[in-house]
Order: sequence, then structure tokens, then C-alpha cells
Amino acid sequence: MIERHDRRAWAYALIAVGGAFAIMLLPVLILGPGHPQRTVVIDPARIVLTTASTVLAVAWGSWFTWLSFRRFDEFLREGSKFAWYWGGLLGIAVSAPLYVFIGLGGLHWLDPTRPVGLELLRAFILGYCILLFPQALCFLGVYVWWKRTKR
Amino acid sequence: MEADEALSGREMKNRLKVLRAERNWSQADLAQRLDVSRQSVNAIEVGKYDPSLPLAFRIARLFGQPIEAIFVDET
Repeated sequence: MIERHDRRAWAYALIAVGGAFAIMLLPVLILGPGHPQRTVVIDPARIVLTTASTVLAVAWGSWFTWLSFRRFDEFLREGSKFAWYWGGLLGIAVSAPLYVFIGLGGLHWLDPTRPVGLELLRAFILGYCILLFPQALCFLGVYVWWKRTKR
Repeated sequence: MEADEALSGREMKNRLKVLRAERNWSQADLAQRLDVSRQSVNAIEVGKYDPSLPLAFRIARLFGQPIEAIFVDET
């Protein structure tokens, strides 16, 4: 059961997630659902609008997540920090062998009907690194900032 | 956190449950008075979570006792 003390925090969390999804849907509502044949067509209007709506969704989500976090008491904040830190590290640790396995063509080895190739490999490496490096850099940046502010 | 305590080898006991029971307060009553969640009160009572200094001072003020009379370092 959600305690009265936590209700506002959960409400903000729901607004953060629900609002961000709604904002992400805006380009689809304005420009239509895209290309049903799954073909890649470079559409500048779609690229700009979808990227802009993503920036807006992230800003929306961040703001309401911050409001939600502020409503937590210190016990729940500690739990959240503990889970993000250790859970996040565990996720990275688990992803490393998966990254190597898939990068070496493991999925194609298991299921030869799956496509394989240099372009796919590059896209996979880029996708992995785009998640990993900003996370690691921001962790380092926030940690250095935190230490400096505590001097 | 419990993991931190395991690493440092220290153990903090407290008399929160006794003090609360003396006043016939439920965990929810105490939580409301301290402006924290009931989960927090429960975690502190069973020794799974050590409160911050500001919260420890709030607890001490609420019960009208010094912090060291409520929280005991048993290392």
C-alpha cells in the first residue's frame, strides 16, 4: 500500500513518465506514423521534430523526477541512490559479456537467419557506446563536482 | 545502509521502539510527527537504517532526550 507520505512522490513520478511519453508521441501525431515498410527514409522534418520533442521529454521527465525525489524522505532517497548506483553498475557488468558475444556475431551463430555485417556491427557498437560513455562521463563529472563542493 | 554497516563492522542500536511504545504511538504516528515515511521508522527501529544527524536531532527533540540516550554505538 502506498503511504500518504509517498503519494505526492509517486504522482510526480507518474507525471514524469506519462508526460514524457505523451511529448514523445507529438511528432507521430503531427507527421503521421512514419514508414510502415520499415524502410529508412531520411526525413529532415521528422528528424528535427522528433529530436526536439525528445529534448523536451527529457527536460519534462527530469523536472518531475526531481520533484518526486524531493518528496522522498531520506530513507527512500538513500534507497534510490543505492539502487541506481549498484543496480546501474550491475547492469553495466552484465552488459559487458553480452556486448562481446553479440559484437563477435554470437546472435548470427545461434540463429544463422539473423543478418550480420560490418554496418550492423558498427551500429551495434555505436548504440552500446552512446549509452555507456555519457553515463560514465556524467558519473565522473558529478563525482568531481560533489567532491569539490565538499571541500 | 545495511551493506555499509557490514563493510565498516559497526552496529548501532537504538531505543526508538521502547520510547514509542511508552507513548502508545504507532509507527505511523511517529512517522507523521517526524515527517518521514512509516518505512523509515520501521527500518530505524529494527536497525536496518541509521538516520542522518538532522533526523537524529529531530528524534531526540521529539522525545526530549539527548541523541546518545536514544542511539548507542555498540562497537
